[in-house]
Amino acid sequence: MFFLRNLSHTINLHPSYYGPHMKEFLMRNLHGDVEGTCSGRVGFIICVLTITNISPGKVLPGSGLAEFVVHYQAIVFKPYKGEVVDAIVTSVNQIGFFADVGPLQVFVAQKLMPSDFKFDSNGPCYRGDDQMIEKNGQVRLKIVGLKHQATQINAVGTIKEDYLGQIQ
Amino acid sequence: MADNDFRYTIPAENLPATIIAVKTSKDKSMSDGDELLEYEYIVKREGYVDDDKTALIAQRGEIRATKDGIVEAIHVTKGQVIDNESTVVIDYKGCDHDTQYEGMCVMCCKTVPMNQESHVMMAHDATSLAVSRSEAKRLEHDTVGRLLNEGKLSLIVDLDQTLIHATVGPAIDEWINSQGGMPQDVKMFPLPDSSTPYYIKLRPHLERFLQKVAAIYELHIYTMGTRNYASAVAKAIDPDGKFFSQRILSRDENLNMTQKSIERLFPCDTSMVVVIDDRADVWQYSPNLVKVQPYEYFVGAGDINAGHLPKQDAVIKSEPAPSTGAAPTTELVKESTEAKSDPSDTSVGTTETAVEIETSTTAPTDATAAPADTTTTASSGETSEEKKPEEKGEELKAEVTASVMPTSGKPLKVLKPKAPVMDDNDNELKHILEILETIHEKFYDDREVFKLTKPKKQPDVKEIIRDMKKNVLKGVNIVFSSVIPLGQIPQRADIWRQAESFGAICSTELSTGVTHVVAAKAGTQKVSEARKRRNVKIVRPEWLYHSIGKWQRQNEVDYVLPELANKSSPRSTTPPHNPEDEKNVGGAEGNGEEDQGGVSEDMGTIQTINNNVWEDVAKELEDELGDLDDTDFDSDTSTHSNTQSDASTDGGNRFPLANLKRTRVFRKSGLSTADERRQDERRRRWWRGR
Repeated sequence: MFFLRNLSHTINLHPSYYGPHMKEFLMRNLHGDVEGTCSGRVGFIICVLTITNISPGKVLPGSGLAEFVVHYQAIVFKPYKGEVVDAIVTSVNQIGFFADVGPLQVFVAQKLMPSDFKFDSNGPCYRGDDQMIEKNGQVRLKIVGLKHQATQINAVGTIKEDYLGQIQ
Repeated sequence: MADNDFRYTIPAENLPATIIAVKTSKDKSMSDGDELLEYEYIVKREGYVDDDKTALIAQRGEIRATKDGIVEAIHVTKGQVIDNESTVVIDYKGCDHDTQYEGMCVMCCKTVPMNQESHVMMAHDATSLAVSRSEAKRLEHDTVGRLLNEGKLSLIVDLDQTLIHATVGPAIDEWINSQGGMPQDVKMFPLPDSSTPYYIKLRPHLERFLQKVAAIYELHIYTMGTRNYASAVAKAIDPDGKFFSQRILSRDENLNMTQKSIERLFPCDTSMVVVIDDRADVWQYSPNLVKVQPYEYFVGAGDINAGHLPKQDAVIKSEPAPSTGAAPTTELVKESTEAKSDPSDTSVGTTETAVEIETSTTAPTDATAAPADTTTTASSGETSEEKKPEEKGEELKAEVTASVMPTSGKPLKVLKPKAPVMDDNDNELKHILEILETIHEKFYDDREVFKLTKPKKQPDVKEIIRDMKKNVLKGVNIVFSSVIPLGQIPQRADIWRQAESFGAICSTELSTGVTHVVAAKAGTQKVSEARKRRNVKIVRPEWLYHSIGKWQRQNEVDYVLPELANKSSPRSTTPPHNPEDEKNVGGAEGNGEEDQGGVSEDMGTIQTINNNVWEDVAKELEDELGDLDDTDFDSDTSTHSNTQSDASTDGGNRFPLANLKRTRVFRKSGLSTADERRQDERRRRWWRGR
């Protein structure tokens, strides 16, 4: 699910950037630092929308760097258990298949596919009565399990329910 | 699985019972010991409050999960009274965590600690997936059934030096440019993470090999290259993905930098898996392995992905027989120091060449040393520091090199094209295809046979390969002479193991049963002793390598030692290079008896060896002694003693052994004469230039 979240990020700015364009540097740094990152707690930070507040810079003793705490609003993607998502199949093997939901990798085991799905090593793909799951195909799946690590989220999905499976 | 279905009931002694709380919900994943349900029941107790009264006491009981699993159905609600012991309150499905993704069970989504013992990886391209042994067995059973239906076996192929030869570096760019475009079957690609172009040369007959073999084998790539490299090469040799599809396993998924293992892909059943690779040691000499002669097109580049692998024993490549007296090879070899910086790693021939140069007359020696320097400076742009041109070859003549060098500004470019042309007669894939076809045929023949036998037995490629190999050198009893370095335990040497796996018996001593002496050079004790015997054949190591490489015993007459062949019959002068020309005796089961005549003929010529040969031997010995610090071949000492004894038996053909001894002492103690010092300096320069 996508959320608009208020987040903060601390930036240490080198003295050579001090000056009238300091705010631009901070914004550029912020975009570079946080966009595309993932944390188990927040989810995937997709895009920074607005900067709500930049704290006054505090020069750190010893180094001369200035520390700014930037508060910003960003779109984040955080997967939830039970969520139904559309994904693109990236790899198929005899145990199951991997699919990408944007930045999130989901694994669907063969046991969590309808029982008519059979593995076919020529392709390789899974063939059901009226469906086929192969690399680069589109699937709709339901996330049944998530593992949140510090900088990584992994998900397990199922297509063994009504209206899930290949998107035609 | 039925034994994972649990139907929880309330124990009979606790009935009737009232449900107090349902502590779970449908489809919820539970751990072993989690509380599912709480209930209350009444017990009667005598004398609990008063001695003569019976008290009714409410007690609590609970139902706990007896295994990790998922709640399938809850049949009761809070407050419900259960009075029948057959009433099922909860349906529960246990989970064995058969399949795990990133340490998470894909069925119950519980985080389970990764257990290397119980779980194995099976997917080619993902290390995050692990399956339990029982699940792996089930999956493999499916695979086996599918393969049997299609009439196929599994074949794991290596890339580097097996199917292709790859190289990188600016020197090769220049060479390509000088060729005026890409030679046939050479392909270039950059990898996504770097701008350096990689060049690969497809092994001759690769296309046909893949087509033929794909019909009877399911192909898997298993390489020590990175994922990106493996995918790029796979795309180059199989653009449509019809041979390999996604069955590619690279170093990134192997988790072991030095070894490959069939169990990584086939954890339980390896009876239908054949492996082809140019290195046997990384497979721990697996019985499923069909070893391939390494393919080398970009001479000297070696295996670009073997940097982290343990070093291999020196391998003698298929080179024209040095005894031909043909034009000396003027082949310049670039050698990556990473792979072969150790002097002991290079072949005996190289060592000899080195010494030969320095002990020959002064003028050509200097000429050799100088071009080596000019080459490096002239081509400083094109040779990255790790690669330096270097002289290699059994009969490198200093004059020839010198005459070529000054005329060409960049000798590398001029001489380089020669090598690929020479090496492109490679027919290895044809031989391998034949072997693979035979294995396949035998497997399915055996299967038909075993169908009829009573205790049904599955054919096994391991046994088929073993039997096929054992027949190649059956009845051959080998003694090695100056082939295995002295410091090495002979039984562990690559060539020793190879010979034994092909049915030969290897011995360290020249006992009575010995039929072959495999010698890198003449003049060792074992060789001269063998020459006195009529029934022992003395052959160059190439004989063994070729016999092993082709799985067919080669004709010994083509592999007579050059020193012994000087006066030998003219037929032995034909280089055994073109395999089609060769007569081989591989088919014959013989112990070599039918070849007796040929051997005695050779023996006859040996008697007539003249003084020149002894001088050669003496020079060689001097070289060996002089180079003792660098190479410790077992011939060093044996040559020493045996030449002494031989010289005495041979009458007047003595050589100044005493001088040599003195020289060596001086060198060791540092009391060298001016001459010696100059020679030392030259040697050092030569080594630096490598």
